[in-house]
Amino acid sequence: MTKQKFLYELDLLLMDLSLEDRQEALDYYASYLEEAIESEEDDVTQLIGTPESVSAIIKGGLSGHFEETIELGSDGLNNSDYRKTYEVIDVADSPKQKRSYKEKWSSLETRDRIILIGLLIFSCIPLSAFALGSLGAVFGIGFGSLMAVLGVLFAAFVIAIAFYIVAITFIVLGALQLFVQTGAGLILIGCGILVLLLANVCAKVSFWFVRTAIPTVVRWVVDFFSKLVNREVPA
Amino acid sequence: MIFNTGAALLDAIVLSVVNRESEGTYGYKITQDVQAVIPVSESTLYPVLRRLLKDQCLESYDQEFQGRNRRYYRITPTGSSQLNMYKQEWYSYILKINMLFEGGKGND
Repeated sequence: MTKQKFLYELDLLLMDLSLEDRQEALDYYASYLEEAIESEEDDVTQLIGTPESVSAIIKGGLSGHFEETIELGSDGLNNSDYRKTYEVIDVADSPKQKRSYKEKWSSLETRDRIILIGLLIFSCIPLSAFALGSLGAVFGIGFGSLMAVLGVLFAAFVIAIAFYIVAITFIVLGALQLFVQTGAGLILIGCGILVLLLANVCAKVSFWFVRTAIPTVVRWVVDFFSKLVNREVPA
Repeated sequence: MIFNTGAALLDAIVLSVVNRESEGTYGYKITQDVQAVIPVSESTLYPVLRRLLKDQCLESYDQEFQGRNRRYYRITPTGSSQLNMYKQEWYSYILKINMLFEGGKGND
């Protein structure tokens, strides 16, 4: 790792320190490396350790853990004992399970926050499409059934009127025919009465629709929507 | 070395190293001088120097060297008396250990 990259990564790792503490530490290590390396391309981690271990040393010094817990081993402060001690203290100071969502959010880096928001939006697109689709389907079924009922009603009404016209025509023609051909006239009048009965049945059906079926369906629909609305906005 | 160096001894060693240079000395050289005596990693001394500055045992000043800024550390009167205290503690400490090793009693 070059000096440039090391200092860049160290700067990132020290982001949670105050500007003054961060700048002071970076100045020290930048100037230290200036003296220590022979060329800009030298691997500084061989010399000074990784940015992570150096940032742990800086933070350990700032938080006072350095004095209380650290003993220098024969391989110096950069040994694993130091890191273990420091990490144990760090974890004990801030138990992860006790952190609130707000704290978790504020501890995230800007890049991670953008990714999270993006994921949320992307997962919302199919969800909202599904919700819209379902709502459309409910409205479609409701509207379709209403139109079907109205269609049957209209058909029964039209058929009834047609049957009445046919029946009256048959009866009038039959009555006139009685004077010419009595038999044929009687048959026509009989047919007219039959059609008149059919017309009555159709009229009954359409009246039943208007009086009973439609109000019932309308009540169902109104009940359904009022329940929906009440559930969304509790009184 | 098989003996560990505690934070107080490390303070004493750094103060002593800085004390040798009346005009002050800089981070890299301090590390080299300390490393000549005890094994410490290159990155260790920053927290020590920072703490000694905060406790006003050291003072720092910036000076240009070969076109770049170099921070020098110099011992203060507080640092000097602290160093003397450390030296006295050390001598009485090693005296007791020496006496013990040589078969005498440590507490006469």
